[in-house]
Amino acid sequence: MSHIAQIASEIRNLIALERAVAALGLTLAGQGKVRSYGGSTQNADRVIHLPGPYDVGFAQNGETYNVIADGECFYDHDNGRNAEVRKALGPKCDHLFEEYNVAILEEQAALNGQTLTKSRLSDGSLEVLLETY
Amino acid sequence: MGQQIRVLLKGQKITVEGVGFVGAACDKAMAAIETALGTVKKRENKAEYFNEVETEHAPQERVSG
Repeated sequence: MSHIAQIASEIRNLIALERAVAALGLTLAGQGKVRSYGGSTQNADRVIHLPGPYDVGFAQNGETYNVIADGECFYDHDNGRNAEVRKALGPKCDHLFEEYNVAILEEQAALNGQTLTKSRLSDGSLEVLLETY
Repeated sequence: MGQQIRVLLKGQKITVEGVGFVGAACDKAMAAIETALGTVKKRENKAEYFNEVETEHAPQERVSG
């Protein structure tokens, strides 16, 4: 081991995002409105339209894309209104971020000529190994 | 074992670790991956980071005069 880095995931790569959304069996639409609490909407550059009252979107902010979603989608519990978001993208959109980060790592492995293997750990996290021989 | 980059994904939290690197070689290997994934919040250099890369020296002849 040489160094360990803790990183906060950020959406920066639209191609990886499209792959992640497709891996979840969903479609990433273009510009549109994201439905939120009480019937309100917000504009986003990319939208995942979902059953139920809420959508999830992504709005460009410099080099990154902010996740546009009702705050309830990041609750620990399912209050009914966020049920479809949790079902599609995971609690707190965790499944979406996992698929996105895997897509990023697959791209990096291909660029660097590395092999990539994945395994699910007992605590639920996903271990990804990139190896150079 | 070759050089390995180990990534743990848990929601939006990511841990990236270099394995099998000596010295600062891991910095270059991991930099692109770290940038592609997001923003580094914390970084810890392990003991191996401070090791120098070993180089082989040619055997020296002792000349007696």
